Amino acid sequence: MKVVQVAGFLGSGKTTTIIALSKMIASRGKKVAVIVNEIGDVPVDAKVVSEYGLKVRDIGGGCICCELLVSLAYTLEELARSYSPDYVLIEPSGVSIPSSVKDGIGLVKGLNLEKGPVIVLFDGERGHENLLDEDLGKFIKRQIAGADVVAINKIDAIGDEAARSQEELIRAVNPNAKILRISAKDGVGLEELVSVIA
Amino acid sequence: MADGDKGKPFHEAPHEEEGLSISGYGSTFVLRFSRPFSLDEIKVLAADLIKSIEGTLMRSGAKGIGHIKIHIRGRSGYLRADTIGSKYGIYMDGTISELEESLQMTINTIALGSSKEDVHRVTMGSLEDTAKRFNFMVDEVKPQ
Repeated sequence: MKVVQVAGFLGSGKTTTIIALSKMIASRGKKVAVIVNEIGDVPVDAKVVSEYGLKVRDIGGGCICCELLVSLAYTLEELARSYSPDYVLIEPSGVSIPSSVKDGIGLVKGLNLEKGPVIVLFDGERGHENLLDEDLGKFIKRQIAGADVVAINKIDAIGDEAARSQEELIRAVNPNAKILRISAKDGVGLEELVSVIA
Repeated sequence: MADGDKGKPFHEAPHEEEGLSISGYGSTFVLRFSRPFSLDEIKVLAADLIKSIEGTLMRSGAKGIGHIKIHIRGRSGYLRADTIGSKYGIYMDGTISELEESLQMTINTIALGSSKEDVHRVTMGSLEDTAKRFNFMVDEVKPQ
């Protein structure tokens, strides 16, 4: 069971990306499950993901990188037992720190877990603006710093020059991350993103 | 990994550590229309509600919109609508193939620089205003 995190700030397109990736991986004959963590008490993203016929578990009302870490471990265990997926895609809330979620997954014992990459989505439309905000920028940089792959999403809505400028900003924060350009809505770049997962 | 994150997965919510004020409110409602609504009308309703929530939050002093997400389920399908601020557009997906007399709708609003109470108050107030404009009844579905 390979566990892959698809993180990113609020509105970066995590749910749309996870749906698209899950469908692509499932089309290769693999079993995929999705864990959605939402900051609100009532899950919207889990309802949306389930509309696509995907196996989904929701963990709401907090953050799986801190107070709900135990729920994450329990949910992984329950999924392994009841569904035996080949891949589990985790969507942490937009205010989670991916490196902390990764640490938390590392604490899960007794399951045959393979740690997949930490993918952080960067909102091509407003990520640049957010990065320039003193407080938001600091927080988003912490998210980017924990990524193995940073995918600039909504590439369909921005030009090549803006994408290049965002790549430079991302590289300055995390020089080791692989940087991809994607549009989850249009499917652009998703084959390459899937190739780093499956 | 950021150095400060190493070896401490148990901590307060990370955005609070950074001093960010990010608050959310979500709930599920049943909407009952005075006449059957088409998909196009439901889309207009969803967009109206999203714009109302966003406009009221920003006028109330919010620094920005984290997201506003709506999931609508009817007998004949679903509609998903969400935005990170209407200047970026409202993304909609899904379909409802028949006229619907009632729908279940889940709303999740997250705002930057607003209190949880304000996000709650604005979301509920906007839903009530939209209900008046589109002439439907609203009942909140209490969590099990």
